[in-house]
Amino acid sequence: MKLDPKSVALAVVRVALGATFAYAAATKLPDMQQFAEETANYRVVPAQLVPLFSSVVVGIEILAGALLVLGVMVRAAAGVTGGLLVVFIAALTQALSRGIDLRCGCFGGAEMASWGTVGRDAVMLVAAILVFRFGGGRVLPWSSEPSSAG
Amino acid sequence: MKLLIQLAAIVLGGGALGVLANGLSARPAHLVKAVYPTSDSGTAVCGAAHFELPEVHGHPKMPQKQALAACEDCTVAFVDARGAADFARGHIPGAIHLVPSGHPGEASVLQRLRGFKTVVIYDSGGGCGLAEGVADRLSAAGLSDVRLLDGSWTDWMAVDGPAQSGACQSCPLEGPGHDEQAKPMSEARP
Repeated sequence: MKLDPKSVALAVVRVALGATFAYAAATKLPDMQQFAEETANYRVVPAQLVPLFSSVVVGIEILAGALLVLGVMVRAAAGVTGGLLVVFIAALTQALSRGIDLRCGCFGGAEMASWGTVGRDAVMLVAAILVFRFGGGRVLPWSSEPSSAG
Repeated sequence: MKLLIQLAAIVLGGGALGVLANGLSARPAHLVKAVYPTSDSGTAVCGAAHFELPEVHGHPKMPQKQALAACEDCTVAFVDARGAADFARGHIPGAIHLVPSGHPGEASVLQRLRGFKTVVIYDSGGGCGLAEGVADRLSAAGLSDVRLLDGSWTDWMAVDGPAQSGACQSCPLEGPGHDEQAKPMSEARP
C-alpha cells in the first residue's frame, strides 16, 4: 500500500501540534498557581474567574493535545486547539498593544510575551486549520485515516 | 452535529480534567479565590534581562544589618513587593505583601502598617523597582517613615536572614494559596 505524501504531512503536523499542546500543559501542571498569576497578568479574565479559567485551559490543552497525537476525534480536537490559539493570540495582542510587560505563560517558564510569541501561535493556528480542514492524515500504510474516526 | 458534540465533549471534558489536574498539582491554584494581576507593576518581568532600570525615587535605605536586628526585635513592619508566588515561596517573617499596583484589600493593610513607626520594603533586586513603587504608594498614603531595604530578598537569604514561606496572613483579598499556614524556611533555603 502506498502512502500519500499529503497524508503523511498532515499526520506530522497533527502529531507535532498535539505534542506541543500536551507538552505546554505538562510544564504548567507542577505550579498551577504560577500559571493562574500569569493568566491574571493579561488583564482579560475577571480576577475571581482566573484560577478556574487557567485550570480549564490546561485541561483542554491536555485533552486536545492527546487526542491529536492519538488521532482520535481529530477534527474536533483541531477545532478546539484552533479556538484556543485564537484566544491566545487575542490575549497576547491586547497585552502587547496596551504595553503590559508579562511572561507569556506558554511553557511554564519565564519566557516573555512578545510579537514573536504571537507569530508562533499564528503558525500553530495555521497547522490547526489545516488539520481541521483536511483531516489528520496517516503515517503508517496500514493505519486508518484518523479524520475518518472523528 | 457530530462535530459539535465532539467539540463540546472536548471542552467540557478538558475543563473537568483541568480542575482535577489542578487538585493534583504540587502548587494548585485556589479555585474560589481571586487572583489579581501584578503585571502593571512590573512584577511579571522582574529579573528579565531587558527590563529597564527605574528612576531613583529618593526613599532612604535601611542597612541590612539594622533590618536584621529590627526583624528580630519586631520594631518595624516589612513589606514584600515581589509577586504573590515569590512571596508564598519565602519572605521575611510577618512581612505584608503589597505590589505597586495595590489590591482591593489595601485599606486594612495600610491601617495595619500605620501601627508601626517605620516600614521597610524589599523586592528581588535586579532593577525591577517594585520596592520603590510600593514606597511611593505608601508615602502617598501618608506613611511618614518609609524605607527601602538596602539589598534584596536574595541578599537577605544569603546572610541567613529569618524567613518563612506561605501565604500573607494580613492580605484579605489576595490570590490562591494565601490561606496556607506560614512555616519556617530552613529546609527551603538554597
